Amino acid sequence: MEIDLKQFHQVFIEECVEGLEVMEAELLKLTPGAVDNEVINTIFRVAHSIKGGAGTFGFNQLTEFTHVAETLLDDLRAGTLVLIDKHISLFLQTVDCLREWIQLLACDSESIPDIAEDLKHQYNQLLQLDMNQPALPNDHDISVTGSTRLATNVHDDGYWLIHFIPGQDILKQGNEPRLIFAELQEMGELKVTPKIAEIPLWEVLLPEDIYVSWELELISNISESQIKEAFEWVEDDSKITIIHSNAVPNLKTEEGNTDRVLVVPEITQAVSKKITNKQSTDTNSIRVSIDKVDALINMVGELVITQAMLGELGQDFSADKLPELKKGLIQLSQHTREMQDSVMKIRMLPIQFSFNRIPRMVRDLSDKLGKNVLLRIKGEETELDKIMLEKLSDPLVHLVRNALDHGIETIEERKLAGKSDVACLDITAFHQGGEIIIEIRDDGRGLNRAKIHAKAIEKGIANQDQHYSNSQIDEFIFAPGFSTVDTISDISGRGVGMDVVKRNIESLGGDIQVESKDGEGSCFSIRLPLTLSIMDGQLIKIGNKTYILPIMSIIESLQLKDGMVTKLADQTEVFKLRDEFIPIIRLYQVLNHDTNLERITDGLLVVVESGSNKYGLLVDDLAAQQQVVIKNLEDNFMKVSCVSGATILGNGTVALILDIADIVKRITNERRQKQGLRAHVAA
Amino acid sequence: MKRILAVDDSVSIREMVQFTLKQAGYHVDSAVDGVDGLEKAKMGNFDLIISDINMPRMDGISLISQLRNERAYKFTPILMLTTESGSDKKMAGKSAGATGWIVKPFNPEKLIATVQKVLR
Repeated sequence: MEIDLKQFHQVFIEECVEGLEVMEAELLKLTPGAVDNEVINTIFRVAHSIKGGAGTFGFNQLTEFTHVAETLLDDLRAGTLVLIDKHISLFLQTVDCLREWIQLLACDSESIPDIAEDLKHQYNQLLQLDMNQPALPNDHDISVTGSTRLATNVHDDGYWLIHFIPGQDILKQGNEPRLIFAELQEMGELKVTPKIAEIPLWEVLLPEDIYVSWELELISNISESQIKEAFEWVEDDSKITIIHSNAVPNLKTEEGNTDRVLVVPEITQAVSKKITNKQSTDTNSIRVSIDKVDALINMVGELVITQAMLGELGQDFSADKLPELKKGLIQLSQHTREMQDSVMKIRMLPIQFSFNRIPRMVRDLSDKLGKNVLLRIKGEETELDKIMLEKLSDPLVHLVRNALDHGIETIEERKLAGKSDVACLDITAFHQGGEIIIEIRDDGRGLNRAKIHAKAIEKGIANQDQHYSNSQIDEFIFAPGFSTVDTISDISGRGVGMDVVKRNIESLGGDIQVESKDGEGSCFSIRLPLTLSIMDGQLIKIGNKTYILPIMSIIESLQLKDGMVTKLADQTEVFKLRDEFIPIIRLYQVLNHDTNLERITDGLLVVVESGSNKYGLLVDDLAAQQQVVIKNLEDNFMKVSCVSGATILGNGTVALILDIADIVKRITNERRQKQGLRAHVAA
Repeated sequence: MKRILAVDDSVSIREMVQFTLKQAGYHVDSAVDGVDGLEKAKMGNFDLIISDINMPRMDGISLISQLRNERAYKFTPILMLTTESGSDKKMAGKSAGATGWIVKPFNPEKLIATVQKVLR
């Protein structure tokens, strides 16, 4: 039978990647001196699994490498070695090395990471092993004997006499003499003679024990080791003597005294099948918990029932069945909605996947920067769309690096400021409304506003004469081309600034804000929608056109009354909502449509939030609210300003989804240009 | 058809064992650790149990001794998967009641040959 082990490589690689993540996370929990055995055990198991898999799937060098790591872990586990910080660092480097190695394997490359030899050397030094000694002494011998068991070494037909006195317990271990004899019988001609002299009296006989011994005569050209192998699992408990002679003695047939045990082996014919090689080229796979799949299958079942019911109704429909039809339709919409939820949940993964890299990074960076940082992560189990998770990783890493590099002070600075040596970095994820919030909070020095202001003016982002509020100054760090560090450090990266972080997050339909207190620290909060492909939409009418606003961004809707609108000097219309002045945006103007509105008080004002500001959007009317499936315009047509996507409505028409942030940006730009023009004219 | 239960916390090994033995004409169920294995063993009527040693929640040794306490598995063959370094593990397994062992790394041919030793 030929089985191509390659088909399991992909699973093995995925498993290794996951295992390494677990290993890294557990390693970071270790502190020298206080060793949690369960943690060491978990780490050991990962190394052990990788080693086992690597051996089975033919990656021998990987086996050897993990073997040394495993040996050290085993010593730690057994307590013969005391854990020191050096071990942790070495294991962490091993994780890196293995990651690289697995990557290489994934690309079918046989090369080995450069650092592997060096690490192996370090392990061997720690283990005080002679470098020349092979790492796996027995391994190869065993597998060789295993696979050449049936290879026929040419022997002359020999006569073997075997005395087999089984251990009394072997039945309780599931070892049956019958099976051993069957194996021997396959090797040649076998005669089995039981000896019953040792059977005790009934009173003391234990029915589950063996008291019989056997004399076996085997005529075969096999070797002694092959015979021994048949007894491999019982040899420790049993007494086995094997005598060989080349001459076959005259076999006396004593039919009367001995029972000939007939062993008729069932021949299980192994069906040799050509394996269809289902190459899983799609690396974009996703692991889904069985519960989610079950929920989905359950919903499909419900849906099928509803469909059957409706189908039956439709066969001969009459008006009196209308209530039933309505009931069916309500059920259908319920099930569809639930099913949609279940399907969306499949794409959701815990945010842990993005957080995984952080503990290691914080450890490495704080070492490098000579800072003492306590990392606290909360809400790792918060679920987020898989695509978003992937795109979120880089911005998160950047923000954490920034916090460590710029936000948190060195130990000396902290002492001078009267703070504790240990700085805190809190990363928290949680749900709020229909959004996910991720906060990265440090208790460092806070943003240096004077420096930011000066830099913004220098870079031409800010206007020298204008007065800026604190939050406006904070916003400057997100402006393109802004960086407060005079020399680029290798920690906060180069070129890639906060503007890229902001852009990445905005491309996910979210936004980022910063709050900062001088000397007390800063907090970056990222807000993200739950998913990218479906959202709750509010249908609005502008003229005779229908548009959609994301419900998430709507705060309230109201009708204006006469005298509520004030005009500012730059012609911006504002109205007072409670204590705030809110600028009005006439959507029909922005979108170049006709309007049915004669006066502003005829329409409705939808108050929306964009960034931290509120705007009043003037629309003709509000229509229904519904869930809309977002279709990307760029993919099907091209990027259109003020529009984030499109959707198909129930009646088959297409409606555009408005991009509020983009509309606001456009209006502000237009105003700025007008102002500039006026300033120019005035000059 | 003979029924086998494969217990291992590694997906790839589990899949490999399962696939190989299915090809060889056995019915194979799998379990992810000792706890799962014990539960499944109690529910299904297996002719052979193959178990890894190092597993979370319940290791192979405890699984074997618990299985031997079950009436239905008193004499059922139980094979453990061990590595070359595990000679003391082998002994621990034997005294817990294991029938025999399959040494890792193993290839499909060897696996089938070993299984055929106890399932005839």
